[in-house]
Amino acid sequence: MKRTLTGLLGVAVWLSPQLASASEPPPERDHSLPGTKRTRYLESAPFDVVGGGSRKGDWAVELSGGTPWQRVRTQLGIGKGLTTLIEMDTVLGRRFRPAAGVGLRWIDRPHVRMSGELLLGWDWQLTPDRQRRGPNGELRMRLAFPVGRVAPYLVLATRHTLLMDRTTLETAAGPEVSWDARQAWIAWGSLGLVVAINEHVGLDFGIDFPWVDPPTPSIPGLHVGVLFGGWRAKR
Amino acid sequence: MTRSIGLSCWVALALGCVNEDLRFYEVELSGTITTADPALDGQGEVHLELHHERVGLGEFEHPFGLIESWTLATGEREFTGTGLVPTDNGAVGLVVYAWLDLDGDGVLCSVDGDRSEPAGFVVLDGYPAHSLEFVLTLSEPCKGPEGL
Amino acid sequence: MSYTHGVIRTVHRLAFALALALGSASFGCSETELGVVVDGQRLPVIDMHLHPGEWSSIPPATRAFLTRNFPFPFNTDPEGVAETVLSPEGIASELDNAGISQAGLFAIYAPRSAGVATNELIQAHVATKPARFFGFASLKTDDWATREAAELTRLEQALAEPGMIGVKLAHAHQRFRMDDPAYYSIYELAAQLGAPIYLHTGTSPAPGTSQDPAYTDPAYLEDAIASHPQTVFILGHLGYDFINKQIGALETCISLAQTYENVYLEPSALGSAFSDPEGTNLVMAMGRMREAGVVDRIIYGSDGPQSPGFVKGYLDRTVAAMRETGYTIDEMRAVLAGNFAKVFNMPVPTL
Repeated sequence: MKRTLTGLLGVAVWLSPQLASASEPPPERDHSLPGTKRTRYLESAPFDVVGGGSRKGDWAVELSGGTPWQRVRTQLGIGKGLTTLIEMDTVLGRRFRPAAGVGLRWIDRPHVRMSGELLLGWDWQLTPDRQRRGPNGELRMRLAFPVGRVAPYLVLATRHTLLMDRTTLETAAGPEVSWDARQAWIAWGSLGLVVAINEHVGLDFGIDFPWVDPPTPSIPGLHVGVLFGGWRAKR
Repeated sequence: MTRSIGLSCWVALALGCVNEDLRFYEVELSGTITTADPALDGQGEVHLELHHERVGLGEFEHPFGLIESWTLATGEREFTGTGLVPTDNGAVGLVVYAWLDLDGDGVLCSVDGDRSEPAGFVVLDGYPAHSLEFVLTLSEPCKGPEGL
Repeated sequence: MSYTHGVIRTVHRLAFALALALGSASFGCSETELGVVVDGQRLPVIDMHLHPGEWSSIPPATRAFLTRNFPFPFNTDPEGVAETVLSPEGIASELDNAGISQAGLFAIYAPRSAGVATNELIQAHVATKPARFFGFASLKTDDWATREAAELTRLEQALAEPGMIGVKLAHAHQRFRMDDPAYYSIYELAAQLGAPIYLHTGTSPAPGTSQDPAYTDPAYLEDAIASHPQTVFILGHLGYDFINKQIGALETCISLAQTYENVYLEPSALGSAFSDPEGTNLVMAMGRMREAGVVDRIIYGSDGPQSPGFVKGYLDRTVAAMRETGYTIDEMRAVLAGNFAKVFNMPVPTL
């Protein structure tokens, strides 16, 4: 964990001069321009998914499966670097988390894309011996380095679920009900590679690192996904 | 109207959110502990436990299930206390079990200690009721609740 | 179960099977030959302590406790995991991966804590692989004042079944005192039938377990041991303190073995990664027992299957502990199979 944070800090320090030199956001993409070999896929739907953020009117969908997570995710760019998100993930059909949120591109360079996402949803687990349910919030960072058709990427996220407990005490004067709140925390990360088949379709291969309900150990997993999308209208 | 709708929504939301849902029945206990051997009057600490009489369903059913425990002051034989009895685990009845710690080591008939420490139990008649009284005589040396 | 859920469950089991295979592999290769190799010699192994069972026969509080300790994502489907690990096929697979020839399967009647694995379940498991599995019967100790005779009769009947060779008791889990003479009839029956008794000693983290010394400290067994010289007592876990992960009543166990000829020692579970994270307690225990001259009383057991690869892992740790503390090949041979064969009057497995 410490090494990851140190690495992120190093990346941030390296990027900061370039960030400082980006004085204004780049213009919205004109999809009619063909682009070069190195830039042709920069605004493709697959790279939008892993780097986060879509241009206004662009949309993208992720369908991925593996262990432990299976996931469906959609995003739609609404302009000014903002993207709306709707997603659902499940752990082997036993734990579910639907959520909606918004993403914002922080760094938008040709070969470096970083975005942040905030999602709100609901978390519930059906395991009879460990049921739980409650509102859920997640902060997520996406970092991708698209070059040509491929984009290695990193995702880091922290997810919090509010769990409410009720105690009912039958006294001589009648029942007394009290409530307590606690939170369940999950952190997770993914390291992977996206390959753009074309501007609309790509494949995603990644390794997932869950940190679920510590100190219970978590087994790393992997996923394979199909990413696709398009844009609403030419500009 | 708006307020009651809002409150209802909050309650509904909260109810849908319930994770652990614990239910307890409050019992005020009062009782007297005596020893079969009058020579032990005023000696030692009484360790007192409140148990379910029987707990569990099906193959998990068994006698005794510890709810709460107390330790009385040395020589004290009158007890008052409040027990919170879980009610969602298939349990029935209440029992008070106690033993007399003559050597003060906190262990009933420890291997290197006094091997004559008496124990006993009594079934609490009248449960469920919020106020219960008992008289318990300690007469069986070195017996855990399962041995009585 | 819906079709979709069935598909997901199948995927999960495939993933778990993969984890089972990976977890059981050693240096990239699975063990397929029986025995463990020490200094070029292959030694046969009997693991006297394994727990089959059914998830539904574990009480809810213990199921919740176990679920919390299963790694994610297996803790989202603990029943599915348990079904695989606790089945006869799962146990046999663990034995194959570890190179273990034969194993003891334990019944238990502990509705407050560890759960219930009936004598009938054990008999059925033994019947699936009679050349590899032995059974240890148990009995209900609740309501003893009214049920003693009936339970002793059931125990006697269970021990008459094929492959049932001993008795399993766990005072802490079953909640009866080690020094209560009311239960001595069990030891008397065991002596009559020539069935050694395995007893859990030491504390236990399972919910509902008694941690009082009279239920966990083997010192409280001395009166029973001394008064039943024809009964064989196998002191399981060496009196280990599983709550604080400390050596516990090891010296008491050693002293009892030195004093009484009918006492044997079994070092299961205390050396696992969970119970001995520093990896020092099992080494210390094995070394201390050798130093005390009771190697001929040590009978190997693991307390598996617990999780994929546990049975092999525990065997590896025990062999490593014996190496580190100077056990000779003959001493290791005795610990791993010879002493069991002697106590239970059986041949040592051939390899």
